[in-house]
Amino acid sequence: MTTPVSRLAPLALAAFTALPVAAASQPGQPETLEWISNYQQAVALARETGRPLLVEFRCGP
Amino acid sequence: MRRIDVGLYDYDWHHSIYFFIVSPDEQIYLRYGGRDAAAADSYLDLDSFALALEAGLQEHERWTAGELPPRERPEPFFAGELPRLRRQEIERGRCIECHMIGDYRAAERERAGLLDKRREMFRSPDIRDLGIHLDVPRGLVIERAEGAALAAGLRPGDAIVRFAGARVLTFGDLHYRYDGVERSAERVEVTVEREDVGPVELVIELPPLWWVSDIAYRYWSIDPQIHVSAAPLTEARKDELDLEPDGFACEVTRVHRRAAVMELHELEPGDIIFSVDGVESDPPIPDCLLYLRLNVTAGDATTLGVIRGGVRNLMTARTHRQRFRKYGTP
Repeated sequence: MTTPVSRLAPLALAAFTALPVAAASQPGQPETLEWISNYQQAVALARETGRPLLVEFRCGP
Repeated sequence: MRRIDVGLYDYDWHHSIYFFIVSPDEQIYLRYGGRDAAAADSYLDLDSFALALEAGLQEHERWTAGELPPRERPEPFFAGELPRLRRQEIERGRCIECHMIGDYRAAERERAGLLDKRREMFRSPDIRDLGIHLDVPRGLVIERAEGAALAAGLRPGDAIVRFAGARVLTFGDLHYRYDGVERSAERVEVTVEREDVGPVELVIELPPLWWVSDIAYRYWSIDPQIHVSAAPLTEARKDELDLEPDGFACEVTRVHRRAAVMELHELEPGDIIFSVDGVESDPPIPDCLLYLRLNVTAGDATTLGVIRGGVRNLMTARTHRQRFRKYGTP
């Protein structure tokens, strides 16, 4: 099956943790993801691009 | 976390990881998360996560096409509105961990006399107590039904699509809706999609105390602890000791080390606790410790009726107000 990582590509990502996950995001590289730790920024991006948001809350880094 | 509207992103804050898929205008399409007492990831795996992502994207297509009716946004709520959390964590520049929101909020409600422990302390009941066993990698497909679920007509292979009046797409959705059921409810409606049949509407008769689950992993500050293990007495034993047949008398089976270290009480294994603050029965509460947890404020002292060596006595016990990685007691 396709990994969940590739299925995340159409979503804007927002994570709220002590240490937000960050990964390099380059055009044409759908397997890399960039999590946005600023919620307002993530919502603005979702509105701008029309993409849904995947919002993550987690305990710890 | 302090700028997140936790009124919108409401969930059981003791879950270790939780996802929402939402529209650009912040309508929640679905939730992905949920746990049981055994482990933080009992209901989480990559297959079910992939299913949730697909369902979320399908919902987004519907939203884009204007097919999803707009939902009323819940009342906004921010962590900083909890005065003690603000003072003890935010103003000291400390990180707000998710579970703190749940705990400070519950403690605040306890102080205001608004806390319903049946609903707010015993959060997220275990669906397996209804007899629903899910095939986790397949999302909401039932692997096995027993007890109340079996009696209601749920079958292996059925996929749950509605629960308690709401459409559910993931276990997170189901768990959240189940948590929202009034603790006094006697039944809950469920709709399943059955292969070769289509949607089937069923009613699950809720068993007594369906909302009670193992909450030890939460370390709630609102959960008073005397740090003993105890077992309810049999009817024959109650009769032998001349105790009320529907009473919650129980026998202490173990006194945990912390009870002695904290000098909470002088209970010993073999002691029979037959009353808490003068109350001996509260049907259908079956055991003294559950009654104590529901009716005594954490940190307060309580008077226990105790039988030791055939002699009845009253004993004062202090209860422990637990903390879970918090700097101050909420």
